[in-house]
This record gives sequence, C-alpha cells and structure tokens, in this order.
Amino acid sequence: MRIRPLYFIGEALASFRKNWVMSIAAVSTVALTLFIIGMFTIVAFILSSVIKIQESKVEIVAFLKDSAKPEDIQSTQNELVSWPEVANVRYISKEQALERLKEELKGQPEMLDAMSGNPLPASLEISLKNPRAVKTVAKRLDGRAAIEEIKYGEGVVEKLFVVTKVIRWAGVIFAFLLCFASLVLIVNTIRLAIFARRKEVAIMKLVGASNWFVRWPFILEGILQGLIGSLLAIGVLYLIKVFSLESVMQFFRWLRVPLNYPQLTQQFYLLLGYLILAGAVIGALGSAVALRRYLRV
Amino acid sequence: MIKMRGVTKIYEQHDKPALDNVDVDIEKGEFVFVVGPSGSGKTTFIRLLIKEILPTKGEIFVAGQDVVHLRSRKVPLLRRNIGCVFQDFKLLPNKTAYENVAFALDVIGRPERVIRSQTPEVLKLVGLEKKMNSYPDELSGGEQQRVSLARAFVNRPPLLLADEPTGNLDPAISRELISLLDRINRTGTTVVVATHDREIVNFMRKRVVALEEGKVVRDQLRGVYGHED
Ligand SMILES: Nc1ncnc2c1ncn2[C@@H]1O[C@H](COP(=O)(O)OP(=O)(O)OP(=O)(O)O)[C@@H](O)[C@H]1O
Ligand SMILES: [Mg+2]
Repeated sequence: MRIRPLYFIGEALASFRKNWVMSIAAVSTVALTLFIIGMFTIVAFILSSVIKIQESKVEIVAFLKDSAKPEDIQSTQNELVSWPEVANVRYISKEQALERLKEELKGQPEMLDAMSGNPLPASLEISLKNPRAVKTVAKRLDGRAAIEEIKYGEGVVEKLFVVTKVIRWAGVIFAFLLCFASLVLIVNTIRLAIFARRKEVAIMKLVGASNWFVRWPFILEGILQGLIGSLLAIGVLYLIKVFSLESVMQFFRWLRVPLNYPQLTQQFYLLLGYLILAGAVIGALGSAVALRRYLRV
Repeated sequence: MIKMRGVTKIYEQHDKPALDNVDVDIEKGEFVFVVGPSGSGKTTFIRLLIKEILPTKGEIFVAGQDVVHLRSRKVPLLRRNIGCVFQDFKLLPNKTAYENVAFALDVIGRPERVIRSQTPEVLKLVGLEKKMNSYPDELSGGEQQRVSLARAFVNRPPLLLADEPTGNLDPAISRELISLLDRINRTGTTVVVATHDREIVNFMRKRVVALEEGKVVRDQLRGVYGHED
C-alpha cells in the first residue's frame, strides 16, 4: 500500500476541527497538567539551587596554635590539598583574622577597643567538594600538631543535611505522583474522546482499513493536541518568568542567596523544550493506547 | 466464492442460535438472495462473511480463504475484496457522501487522481450526484443506503454483499438499484443480497436461499420469495 502522509495529516486536521469539543478538552487538560508540572519543576530548580548553595557554605575551620611551626602548618595544608574530598584550602593569618573582625564590627568600635593585642588564632579554611564529607574529613584531620581546634558547625550541619535530604526526596516523590496523575488525566481525556468515536473506528475497520490506516490520523491528532496544549503551558510559564523574574531576584538578594541566574535560565529553557516534547509524546502514545481496544474489530 | 459448512452462531446474550448448522455454497459470479423473516439470521450470515463476528461452530471460506482462522492482520485484505452494504449503512458521520465513498479507495491506497474521477461516477450511478457534499445526517435513510452501496462497489470488489439494500427505498428506486446490482453481477462480481423485499425477489428470479429461525429451509435456483412472511 502506498503511504500518503498528506492524507493522514489532512484527516487529523479535519477530525481535530470536527471533534472540537473533545479537542478542546484534550488540549486544556494537557495545557493545565504541563503547566503545573512546569511550575513545580521551576520551583524545584530554584529550591535545589538554594540547597546546593547552603550546603556549599559548610566549611571546616581548623584553628591553629599560636605556637605552631610554619613547616607544620605548611605540611598540614599540603596534605589537605591532596585529599580527594577537599576542594580548596585557605590559610588565614592572625592579622587577616583581625582585619575581618574589624570589618564585621565596623559599627561598634568600642568592642575592638576592649580587645588587647590580637587574641585571634590563625586558621585553615577548608571547603569540600562534597559537603557531606565534612564529618569524615574533620575527624581525619584531628590531632595534627599544628591544630588547636576544629570547627564545622557540629550538630547544625547534620540537621541541615537531614532537612535538604527530606526536601529532595519529597520533591522526587511529589514529582513522580504529579507526573503519574497528569498522565492518567490526559490519557483518560483522550480515551473519552476516542470512546466517543469507537463506532467510527469500527466502520473504518469493516470497510477494510488496516490498523495503521486508522491509527495514523488519531496519533497525529494526539500530537497536535499535545503540541497545542504544551505550547499554551509554556507560553504562560514564559509570561510568568518575564513578569516575576525581577521580584524573585530581589527576594533572593534580600535572603543573601546568590542564585546562579544564567544556569537557572538555561534550565528554564531546557524545561520548556522538554514540556513540548512531553506534550507531543503523551498525545501520540495516549491516542495509540486508547485506540487499541477499539481496533479489534 | 463462498462456502459455509455446519455454521452455527449463538450470540452471547441469546440461547437460541441465530444461525443453526448452515451449509451454503455460492459460486463465483452468482447472484443470490438470502431471504427470511425478521430475526431469521440474514444479517448474521453477512456479518460472518466479513469476519465482523466469529461463528460458534463451523467453517467459512470466502474466495478460498479460511475466514474463521484468518490472521487478524489479513482481515483488512479480506474486507477490501468484499463490498458490503450494511443494513444500518455504517457511514462515517464526519464525512460527506463523497468522502465516505472515497474512503473505500483511500483505504486501498488509490491515488487521488483515480479517487477524484471514480467517486463522482459511482455516486452518479446510485443517483446521488447532487448530494455528494451532504453529511450522513443530512441525508434520508434511502440516500444513506445508496451511499453505502456506492462505497461497497466503488473499488470493484469480486464479492458484493448487500444487507437489505432496498429497505428504505420506494419500489421504483428499489428496482433501479436491484438492476444496478444485476449489472454489477454481469461484470463478473458475485452478489449476495439479504432481503425480505418480496417484490424484488420475485421480479429478479434469481437463486433464493431461505432462512427460518437460523436454518436454511429452501435453496432454489430461479426462485421466488415464497409463501408469506
Ligand atoms: N448482537 C447481538 N446480540 C444478541 N443477539 C443478536 C445480536 N444480533 C442479532 N441477534 C439475534 O440473532 C437473531 C438473528 O438476527 P439477525 O440480525 O441475523 O436477523 P435478520 O434476519 O437480519 O433480521 P432483520 O430482517 O430484522 O434484519 C435474532 O433473533 C436477533 O435477536
Ligand atoms: Mg438484518
């Protein structure tokens, strides 16, 4: 049999038009569910970015003995750099520590006046590639000759990681449920539309149409509905981005969370692409699946 | 062309068989009436031939093919070689008369050029050249029936089945349609007409297979409708 793509496209368009009530139902279901998924994903992107930033703030500070020998400090520092978990090690001298304190206490010079000499220790500030390794690294570091005390926000850090873990898992589970519910909703709408046309399908089969001959227009129509639905969804998402970006940025500036905006924007556009793809795929598969039982004529 | 052996059909919600141990042979090129009162199994007979339903028991062969055991991917091919006029027309509601007839050609992948010349020609043969662009719900029962007939033979199938093709027509048009079927038959097409239209059966004097309560009670060459309904 000759394949006539134009014929199938024409059939799909005609039936989209003639069954417009069902078309609108399918399109709006796709639009709504993809919009909700999109919205959720954007919030999840921002949240995970915030989490990452908060986690990366976790650092180990090793305060050094005033009596520590420079070569001991140097060898400890070299050793730290060689550890795979360690991203970066900064040496902060006593003078630098004092400078920092002065900077922080700019408003209250009387506090500085009360200080005699420089009581602040020198330190090594260790940032980690994986902040979760903070405890292990801190333990391993313990007992070096040059080191007086190690601090990494014991207790608080553990709680932070519990919280971020819960948030991540809740997000994953919620996303899964959301996708599942959307899929069910969309497929059911399509199924309803096809149920309304089951007699038509049976007639086509009785006149000698092959399954694929019946299927193609339905699949193309499903793709069309999915595409229109997803375009509506991403259109609204885009408008929301345009109108709310400034206030979102302001909000996080106020929270002192330096979000990576170029990266988030890139993720946003990637998301829009995936939503279009998802709309088309769901439309096509939904139609094909819903049609299956009515093709057995 | 058609061979039925011991065919019995019992519908699910029905304990009495709609067809009961039927044996029928119809040769290539024959013109056969299947007659009988309402509920005697005429439509069941036709539906079995295109594998719309399966028999409860028995063997069915159409053009040498074992219909009962035909693989489902082969069924469309079988149906493309059988034109069928359905008692309930079975027109696609979203397509015009023209598009419904053209559909039978679309299905077998005829080029647009052929479709555009053959479809109007066939619609003209059934007297519907003026209604080509009407949708089924804008057509009378008789007109829909004629669209169904046009669709059934537009692709020149070797076998034409017609279930009450004159059920909704007045006697004059009925005769015209039956003589159209006769002409189609003369080109070599095997024609099977299920009907309880006494007048056309008696008029045509063709082979008559009479059903009663699912049984073949009479099979007569150059027959008449019979006694009374
Ligand atoms: N889908 C079905 N389910 C259950 N019983 C059915 C079904 N179709 C037909 N029957 C029964 O089978 C018997 C034969 O029906 P069939 O339609 O073959 O009769 P018919 O000869 O075509 O009648 P008519 O002249 O009224 O069209 C009838 O008793 C009918 O009630
Ligand atoms: Mg009948």
